Amino acid sequence: MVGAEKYKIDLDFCPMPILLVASSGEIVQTNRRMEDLFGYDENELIGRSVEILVPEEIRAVHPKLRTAFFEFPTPRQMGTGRDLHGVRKDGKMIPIEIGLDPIEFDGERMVMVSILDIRERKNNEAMMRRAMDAAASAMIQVDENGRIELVNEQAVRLFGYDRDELLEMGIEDLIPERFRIPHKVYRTSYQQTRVPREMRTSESLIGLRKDGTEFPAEVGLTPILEKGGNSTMATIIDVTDRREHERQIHESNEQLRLLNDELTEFAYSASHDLKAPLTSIAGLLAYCATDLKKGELEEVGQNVDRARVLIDRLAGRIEDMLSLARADTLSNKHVAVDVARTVDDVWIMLKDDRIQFSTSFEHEEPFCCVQTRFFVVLQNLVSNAIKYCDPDKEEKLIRVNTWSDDGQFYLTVSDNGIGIPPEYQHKLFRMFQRVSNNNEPGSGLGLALVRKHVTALKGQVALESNDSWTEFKVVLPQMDCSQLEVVAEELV
Amino acid sequence: MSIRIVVVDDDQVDRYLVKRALDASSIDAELHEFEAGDHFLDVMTVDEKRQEQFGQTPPPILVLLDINMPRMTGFEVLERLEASRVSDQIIVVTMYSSSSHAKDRADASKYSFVKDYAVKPITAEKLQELVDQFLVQCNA
Repeated sequence: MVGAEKYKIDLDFCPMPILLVASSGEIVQTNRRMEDLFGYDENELIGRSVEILVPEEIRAVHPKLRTAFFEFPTPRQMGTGRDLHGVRKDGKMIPIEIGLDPIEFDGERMVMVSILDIRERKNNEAMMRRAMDAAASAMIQVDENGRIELVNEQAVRLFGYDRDELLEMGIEDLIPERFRIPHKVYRTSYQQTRVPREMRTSESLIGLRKDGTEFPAEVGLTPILEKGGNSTMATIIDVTDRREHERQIHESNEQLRLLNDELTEFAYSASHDLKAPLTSIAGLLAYCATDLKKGELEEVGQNVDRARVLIDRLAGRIEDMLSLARADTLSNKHVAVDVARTVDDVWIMLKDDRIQFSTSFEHEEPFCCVQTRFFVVLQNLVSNAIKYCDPDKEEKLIRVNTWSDDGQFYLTVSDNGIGIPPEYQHKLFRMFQRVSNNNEPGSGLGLALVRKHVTALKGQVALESNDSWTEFKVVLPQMDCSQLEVVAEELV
Repeated sequence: MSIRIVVVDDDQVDRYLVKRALDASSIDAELHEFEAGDHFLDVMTVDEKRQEQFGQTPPPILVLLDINMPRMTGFEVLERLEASRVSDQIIVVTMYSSSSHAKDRADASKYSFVKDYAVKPITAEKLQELVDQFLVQCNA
C-alpha cells in the first residue's frame, strides 16, 4: 500500500483518467480524473474490483478476459471501432476507449488502464449520422479498396440491406455481377485522379438491391481524406422515375414528330390532289363555254360528263381525307368482332361480278377488336384487290384468310391481279401514293388509312407479293373479351 | 416548222385540255401523249422506240411534265432524264402542275433543262409563250 500511495501522486499528474489494476482485478490505484469521470469520491475505488466499472452484460465474463490478458500481457487499445462502455457510480453508461499497459510492481503483475472519454466524439458522430440520414440521397463512403465504411439511412432503404450488413460489404456487391469487373477498373483509375465527378451519363450505371432487383442510378463521387487512407463518398440517386419520364417524353415527342411529318405531307399532297380535279374542271368548263358558242353540243356533253367524273373523284378524295383525319379520334371500344360477317358486309358493299371471292376463317373465337377500324381496314384491302385485278386474266381471284397463332390474329387479303412492282412497294403505305399506272382514279389514301388503323390497333400490316399473288397481311393482337377492360384502359 | 410537244400526265382530262389549248392556238405542232413517266422514259432511252415515235434524227422536244403522278412523280422523271443523259439532247421541260409550290419550283429549277413552271389548266396563250421560248432555245 505504501507503493500505491507513492504512485497516487504520479497518477494525478497524468492528464487522462487512469487506474492501476492487479491481476486479481482489485483496483490498486486511480487518479482524480478517473474518480471524476466515474463519479466516485477520492480513493473510493481503491480496493474494489474493476468489474464494478464494467457494464453488467459483460461483467460475468470479464474476469476470464482479464485472466487471459495477464497470461500474455501486451499493450493494447480497446474500443476502437466498437462500442465500449464504462459504468459510473450512478449507473450511467459512458462511451470510452481504453488502453492497457502491463507493468510490474515488486514482482507483481499489474495493468495500467488509461481511459479515453469519447462522449463528445460520440455526440459528434451521432450528429453527423443524423445529418447524413437527413440527406435526400443515399450516401455510401468506401475506402480505397472499395470496402463500405459509412452509409446513411437512404442507402439502407435504397438497397434493402441493414446498416450492419452494408458495413461488411464492398461497393461492388451493390452493382450487378456483369458490371463488377469493369467497375473495379473504373474505381482503380478514379483512385489515380480523385477529382469530384458525376457518373450520370452512362446507361450502364445500375444498382443492385438485396432482393436482386436492379435500378438505374446516378452517382456523384467526392474524394474524402480519412486518416486511414483515401476514402470516397458516393451519392446515389435512384433515377427509375426520371428515366421513365424521359422515356415517356421521348415517346410522345416521337409521336408528335410523326404527326407533324404526316401533317406536312398531308398539306402538300392535299393541295395537289384536291386542287387537281378543280383545275381540270375549270379547264373543261372554259372549253364548254367556247364550244357552246360554236354550237358543238356533242363536245360540250362529253366535257360535262368528264367534269362530273372529276367532281365524284374529288368528293371521294375529300371523304377519304376526312376519314383519315377521323382515324386518330375514333373510339377504341373493343368488342367481339364477327369476322365472317364483317367480310360478308364488305364484299356485299364492293361486289364485282367479274371476280371469284373466297374466304377461309380459321382464327380463334372470340376475336376482340374495334369494329369500325377492322371494317375500314378490310374494306380498303378488298377494294384495292378489286381495283387492281388483272383484266387480261381469265380467272380473277380474291382470297380472304384468317388464323390465329401465338397470341396474334392474322388476316390476309390476296389477289392475282396486276401486282405491285418491287421498286414501288416502299411507297405503298404513304399518303397520296398511287403506284398503279392504270386509270383507276384512287385518292392514294386507301393504304395510308389501312396503316393508320392497324397501328392504332397496335398491329402491323405488310405486303407480300410474288409473280402471281399480291397479298396484304395484317397482324393484330388476338385478344379475348376478358382482356378487354385492361386494354381499354391502356388505350385511353 | 412543225415542232414536237410531249405531254406526260396520268390524267386523261388534263391531256385533253392540253390538246384543246393547242387546237385553240395557231401553233403548228405534233402532240405526243404519255400517261406515265416510265412510259415516256422508256421511249426516250431506247433508240428504236424513240425513232419510231419521233423519227430518225434526235429532235428538239418541248415536254410538259406533270408533277403529281402515281408510281413515278415528275421529279423522278427529271432525275432519270438527267441520269440517262437524254437531257443532253435538245429537250426543254416545263413542269406543270395544279398547284404552285415554292418548294416544287425550287426543286424544278435545279435542272438546267427545266425552263419554266406552268400552272394548270394550261391556256392557248401560255402554250404559245412556252413554244416561243422553246424556239429561242432551239436556235440558240
